[in-house]
Amino acid sequence: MLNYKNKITIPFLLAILLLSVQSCKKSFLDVPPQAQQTSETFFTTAADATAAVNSIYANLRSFDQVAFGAIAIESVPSDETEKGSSPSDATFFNLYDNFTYTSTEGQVFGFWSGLYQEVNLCNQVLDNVPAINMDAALKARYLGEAKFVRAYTYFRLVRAYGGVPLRLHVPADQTQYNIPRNSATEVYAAVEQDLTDAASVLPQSYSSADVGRITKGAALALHAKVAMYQKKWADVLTYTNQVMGLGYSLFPNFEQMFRIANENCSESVFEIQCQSFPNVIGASTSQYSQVQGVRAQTGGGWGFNVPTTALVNAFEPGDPRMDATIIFRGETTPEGDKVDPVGDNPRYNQIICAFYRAFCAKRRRRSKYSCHSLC
Amino acid sequence: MRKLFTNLTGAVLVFILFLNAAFAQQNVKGKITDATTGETLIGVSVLVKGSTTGTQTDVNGTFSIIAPANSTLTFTYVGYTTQEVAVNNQTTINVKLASAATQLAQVVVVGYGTQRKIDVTGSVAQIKGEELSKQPDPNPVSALQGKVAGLQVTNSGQPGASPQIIIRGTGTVYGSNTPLYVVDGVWYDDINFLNSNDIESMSILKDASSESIYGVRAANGVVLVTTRKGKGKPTVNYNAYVGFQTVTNKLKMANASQYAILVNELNGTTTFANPASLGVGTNWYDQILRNAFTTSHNLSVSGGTDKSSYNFSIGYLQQDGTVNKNTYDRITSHLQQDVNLSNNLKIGYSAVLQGSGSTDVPSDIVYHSFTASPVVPVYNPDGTYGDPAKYPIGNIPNNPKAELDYFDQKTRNYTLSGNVYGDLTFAKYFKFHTSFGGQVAQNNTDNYVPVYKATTNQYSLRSLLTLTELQTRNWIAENTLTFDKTFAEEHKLTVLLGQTGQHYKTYNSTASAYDVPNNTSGDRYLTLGSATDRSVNDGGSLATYSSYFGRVNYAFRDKYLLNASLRADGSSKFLGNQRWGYFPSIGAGWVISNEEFMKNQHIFDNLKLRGSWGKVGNASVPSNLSILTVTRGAYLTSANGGVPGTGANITTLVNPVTYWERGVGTDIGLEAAFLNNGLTFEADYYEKRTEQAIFAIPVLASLGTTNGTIIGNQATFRNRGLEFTANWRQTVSDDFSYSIGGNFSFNNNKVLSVITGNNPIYAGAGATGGQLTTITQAGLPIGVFYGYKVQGVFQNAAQIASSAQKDASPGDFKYQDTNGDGVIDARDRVVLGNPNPKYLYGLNTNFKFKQFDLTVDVQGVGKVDLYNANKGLRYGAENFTQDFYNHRWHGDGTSNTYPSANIGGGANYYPNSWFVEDGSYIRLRNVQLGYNLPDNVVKKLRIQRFRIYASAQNAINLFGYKGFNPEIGGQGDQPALSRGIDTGVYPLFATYNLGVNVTF
Repeated sequence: MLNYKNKITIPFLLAILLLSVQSCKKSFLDVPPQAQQTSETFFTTAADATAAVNSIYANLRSFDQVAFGAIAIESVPSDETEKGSSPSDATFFNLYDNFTYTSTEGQVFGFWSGLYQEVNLCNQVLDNVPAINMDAALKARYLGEAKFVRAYTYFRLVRAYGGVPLRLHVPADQTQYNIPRNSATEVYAAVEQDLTDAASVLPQSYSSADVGRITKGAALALHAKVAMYQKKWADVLTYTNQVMGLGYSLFPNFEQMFRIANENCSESVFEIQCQSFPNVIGASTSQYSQVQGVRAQTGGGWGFNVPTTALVNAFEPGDPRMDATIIFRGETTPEGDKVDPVGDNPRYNQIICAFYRAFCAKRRRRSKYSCHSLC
Repeated sequence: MRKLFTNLTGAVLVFILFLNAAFAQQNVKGKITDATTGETLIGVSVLVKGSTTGTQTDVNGTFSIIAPANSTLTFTYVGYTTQEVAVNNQTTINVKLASAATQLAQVVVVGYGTQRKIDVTGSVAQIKGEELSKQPDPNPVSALQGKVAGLQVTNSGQPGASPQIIIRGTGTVYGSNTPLYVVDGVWYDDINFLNSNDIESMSILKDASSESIYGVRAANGVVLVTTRKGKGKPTVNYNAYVGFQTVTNKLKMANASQYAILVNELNGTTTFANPASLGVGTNWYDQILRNAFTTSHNLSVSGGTDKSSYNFSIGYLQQDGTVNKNTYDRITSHLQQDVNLSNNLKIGYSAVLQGSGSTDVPSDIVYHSFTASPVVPVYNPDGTYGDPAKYPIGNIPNNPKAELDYFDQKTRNYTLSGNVYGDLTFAKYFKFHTSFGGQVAQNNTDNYVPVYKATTNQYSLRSLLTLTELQTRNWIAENTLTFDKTFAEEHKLTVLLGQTGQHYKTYNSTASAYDVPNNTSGDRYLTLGSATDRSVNDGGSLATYSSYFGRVNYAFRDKYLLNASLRADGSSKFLGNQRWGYFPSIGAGWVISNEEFMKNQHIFDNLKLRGSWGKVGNASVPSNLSILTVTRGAYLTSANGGVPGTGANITTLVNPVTYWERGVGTDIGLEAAFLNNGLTFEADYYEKRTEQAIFAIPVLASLGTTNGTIIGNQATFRNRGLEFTANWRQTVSDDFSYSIGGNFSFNNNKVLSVITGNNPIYAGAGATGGQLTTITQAGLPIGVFYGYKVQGVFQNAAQIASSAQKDASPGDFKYQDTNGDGVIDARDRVVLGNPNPKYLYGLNTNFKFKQFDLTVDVQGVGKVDLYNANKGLRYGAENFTQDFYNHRWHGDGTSNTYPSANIGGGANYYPNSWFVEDGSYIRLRNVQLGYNLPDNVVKKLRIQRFRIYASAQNAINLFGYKGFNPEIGGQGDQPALSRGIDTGVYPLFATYNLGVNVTF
């Protein structure tokens, strides 16, 4: 069979074979993440800063911030609205109306985590953008925008939960994962600091391409509201006076103010910008209005968070704001949509629907993500 | 890697140059028969010892081989004792092989080779292809159900879904927990591309020492598949069946008037003024389900000479789904050929080509027919669809019939899998094997939503075409060198050294366009749609592995056995110091029956004690768990100024270091044979720990991560159990023989420690409102059901007033105040049940009487709990089961176990013990009655074999579970944490076939 020489040769060849694989092992096993950018290469350019700030605005439309969590915590417990929808759907809303929810109820968690996700986006910008080599004025403005949104978010948190853990930086390592709860006073102080910083750098207005970004007026107005919640009446006066000096004016027609044509009008201080971009599918995932639209009707919504009789009664007879605020069963809206006279709820939120309508109208045509026009 | 190939090619070329000169040879012929029954044995491997020259017996059991006059022939046949006969110038050698189902020398396929059963020190179960192809399952893995102790197969019934397989309990939590499939040396995650008819045998490696040679991928067990090879004279086989599938164990639903009564009770009003007038209403199952036709044809040609062998097959399967419109067609082809280039060099290839196409149905359609309200008609009198929005039933579900009618989706799948290989035998005891193989696959889905209006909520104003594509490109290159020698006739030594490189790549894309016309199938292109709002998304994955391994098997006088192996795996999925993992194993065996002192006893034909220990790794986790990446997504697009602003940010956290998840297992086994090997018995005790198991560890929501978790090493858990397998076979007379095999296994799963302390991990969506239904905590099994314990149902206001649930209504669940603080809250939750089955069993029998044969297989799962979430997932309009209607609370004293119709309201939907049910079942897995035409008839027809049969699969299922199907697997990224939660409806179905097997 094989001669002696070959007996040596074969194991030798094998050894070479193995070694050759070994030698190219490093490059063979070094595989970068696929279709994902690593964080090390992010926050290095002005474009990265822009994208990160954009994410802050976009996330203000997240489900937890605008839909069930927000409604359960910020609206249904009031006397003005109640659960709505059909009696057996999402009955947990009743727990909020009756103040009998417990700490493990899903919306308590949903609202909390949704808001802290927003805080994280702001913290990423505030921690990482300062080191980027870019236009100093734009950088300062971006940081101001992020501070405003962080303040706005903590303000929602402190009103819902009282003192909360005040996370003002991205955690550097796992020892910073679990931080203690701060007092409400500390949270308010941080909110005020952010608003002061934001107001000092943000412009009074933007060119048309940037309309919707946070303005100095928005920062001052929110600061006034934050001061009000702390009963700092003098500050409220100071900030509101400053806002009034910035050229805002009341829009003449209450009902029309919520129409698409009048978005970002003279009365508008801060609006969360929603728009469908047909070629960016998934960009308009705000379900703000969908969950509140007229139930059981083509183009309608889920019918939650409906106005109570108490709200109806709060309007003086003949107040045009009532009809602009509330959709009644069987009515025909100013846009000519007929609301089905039979259904689960007697009333729906019209302001919300007006927003929604505007949002929909901006879509040139209907897209996969169902958009309902009937409000 | 290019260098690797250059070297590979070089090496093979060099080996070819070493071909040997021939020497004195002669033709040897003979016939091989079963020593007991005298039956001729087909496909016995005949090999000239110490060479690669070999052949196989034909259908008449005869062989013919050119062999050196002084050589020795080795006769090997799966299930029989290997025999060696010296040629000694004989030209005819007839051999009687002893059946070895029972014998020490039965040969089993193990990692990177075969071993005599006697030499195996781990736990390996082998199933023959014939047993698999008796079951009409498109996926051969399904057919393993009930066949192997310790192997849990969960056939979900979801169209197109591969079965979930768990070997010896849940071994891993995060990522896929399917075993590794090795088909002729090539590694796969799934073998749905294989046709059972093309499988020679499957080996299931169950203990860590047997699996350890597959290191990195072995944590969930290893299934070795050997495809058929050609043997003897050219043989043509044709196997076919026709039959139908029918849904069984349908849950009876409330009819329209009963439903109306329940809605009235739920709303506390007379929503329906006269329920009785509604009558029976719509039976939605009848609109969706059907008896589905199925047919299969398989044709194979195989044969071999001492120079080469081949096996070519083609199979066609058409299987309509039990849901209307659902169809599935598959063509499979297996092409295998070996060529002996010389006495010591063999090359060959094995390829499986598969093409399949399906007309799909909405994945939830059966669930929707389960929940649809019976008061809604399928069609209105005017022919339009019945519109749920027009009925006062709560929320607005779809009309399932309209949903099915307007669903337009087709899927096509193509795969090419296989390998080419070369075997060189040299220096008498060495064998070098080199193989390159892999898989190229493409899966395309084409979904079209037309412009339509069916009901209030089912409409589309624009048409939308969505094309999805998944491409797979995997390869594996492997080289092994084996040294096999018996020293002094008593020291049998086998040494294996090997090296492999692997590369796994996938690419997926989804693209869509609006306003695509749909006049012909030629219109299904994005380019015909609106140009302004097309969208494209893609993604992919790439992982590489480099590995080295070695193994030593030593046997002394067939009495004392020692096996040891070590594998080193490097994976691109891990970084830095964590990249390489080392997986050792050791096993020892003692064949007591071969001892001198056992010579005179007549009880045991075989008695063997074995023990083993090994480590395995788990790479079924995403790549680069410790690399932080940037999140992008359309949802981060801002709208300032009315223009889309692309958004990106960092929204997650990662663990700085992620280690290999390791399995460490011990196995102690006893094998025995009695009564002339008629009765065999095998028992195993095993313990397997999964160390530093990877979990998605929940982190504080205040960190603001979008997924709420970081993935990292978190817990150590253990599976411990016992397995018993017994087989009895007897040939009563020439006319009657039978075999009965049974297996029973018992497993206990327990979390031993959790790195982050005693913090439980809550998971498992099975309730509305985001409530989680399982807990994983030290001291408990993985993913046990967790919630409130129902003590009864409130009958009246007085009971509520004196309870801790002041907000409850009569008819609501009364929960146990576990901590006795007078308040019912999250702290009162307790463990409610265990979804990890305690025991599995199977009983497999075969009877032969004259020309008839009968197979009866029974299989079951015992002591397991299921979470019947469907009872509580209510959003308004869902129908109720008849069982609920009959037993519900509807007034003081009517029920203390079932709540009122308000299951979805109050605190009734909270995870609680009412939803937890016994999931045990026993099933008549398969019955097949066959008839073989007598030999004289067959001969007249000039064919070799003609058999017809009738079979019934899953015809009888017995269980107490109040859902459709007690086989519920896990879902999502961490299937082990959501196992047994029934949130969809995938009904069981039975299959009835008539078939034929013909051999020419």
